[in-house]
Amino acid sequence: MNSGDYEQLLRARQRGELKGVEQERLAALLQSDPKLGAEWQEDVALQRLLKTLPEAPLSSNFTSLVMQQLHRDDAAPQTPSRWALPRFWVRGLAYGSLALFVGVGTMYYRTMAARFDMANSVATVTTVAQLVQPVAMRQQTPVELPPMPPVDIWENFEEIRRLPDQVDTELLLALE
Amino acid sequence: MADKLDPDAALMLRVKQGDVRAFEELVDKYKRPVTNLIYRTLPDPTEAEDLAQSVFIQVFKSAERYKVTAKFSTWLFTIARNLCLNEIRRRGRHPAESLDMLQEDKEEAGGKQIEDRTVPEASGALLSHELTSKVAEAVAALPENQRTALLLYQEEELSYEEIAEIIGVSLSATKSLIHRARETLKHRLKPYLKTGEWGEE
Repeated sequence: MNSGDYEQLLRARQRGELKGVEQERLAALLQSDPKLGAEWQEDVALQRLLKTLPEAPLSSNFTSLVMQQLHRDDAAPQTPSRWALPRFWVRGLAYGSLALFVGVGTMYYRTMAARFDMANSVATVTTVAQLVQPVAMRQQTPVELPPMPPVDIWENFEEIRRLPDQVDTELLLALE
Repeated sequence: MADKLDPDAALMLRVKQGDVRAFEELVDKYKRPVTNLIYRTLPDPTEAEDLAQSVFIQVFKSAERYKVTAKFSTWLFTIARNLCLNEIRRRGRHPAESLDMLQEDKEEAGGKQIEDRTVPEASGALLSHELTSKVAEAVAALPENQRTALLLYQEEELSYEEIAEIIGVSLSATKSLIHRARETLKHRLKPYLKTGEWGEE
């Protein structure tokens, strides 16, 4: 007999469903196999013991109590968790973070752009100054150079930018 | 092709539509099995009943999620088992340590029965009470999954497949759990197995 058949017989016995022919066959089988017989006796005894387990005491109005609790739960206001933020706070926080990010980004961009422009201007002035001085010294002849603007003007890069093109053309000629 | 609809599943579908009467029918039918299952783990009758009520409240509130792919009883006992496990975790109770607590709870709950010794059959009743206590202790001392599997198989006569679904294990694991639970109980209750009474070895 395999374990599946054994379990089926045990369950049928528990339910009182063992019929005459089945009971006789089972009895014969258990007699022929003492070990199986002993196991069967123990399992049947265990079934009887488990039936002695007391039933849980139950209120006679159990169902009413359940329905009352459900009505109470329906009637009670929904209290939000104390850790939950109001929606407008969450929205405000999100918009504020976005505005801050955009502002900081814009400022950073403008600062970097201004620095880049200044660096370009310095580079231009430095290049011109380096080119002009050696040529004038090499020629040894008085060169009629156009009147140079005052020295202090070199310190003012904005002024340098405003110098007219004509000055640049003459400078080029001098370089040649 | 479709099997005949489980009558309880049909009731539960009505509950989904808001039929309170159908829900009350289900509660009436299953209050005893659910409370018994919980009572074997939480031996205090008041706590067991409170938790059983919570099971049905959960069933009602989860009605929208109920699907007719499983028997209603399978779904119900799954909820019952999960709430029981939550309660066990909450209390931090270990099954092996529960024997002493179980004995104290039983004595508190059934004290009046022990005190009554004037009736002629008192000795028989006393022995019977002791036997019941021993059996209840042995069952409560089983690991939770073995106890649940055995009780669902023995008391509720659920199939292996249904029990496997409730506990969340395979079919072979379910059979193994039930077999081990029976072997453990037979070992612990050996003095009682032959006669069903207390016997000195």
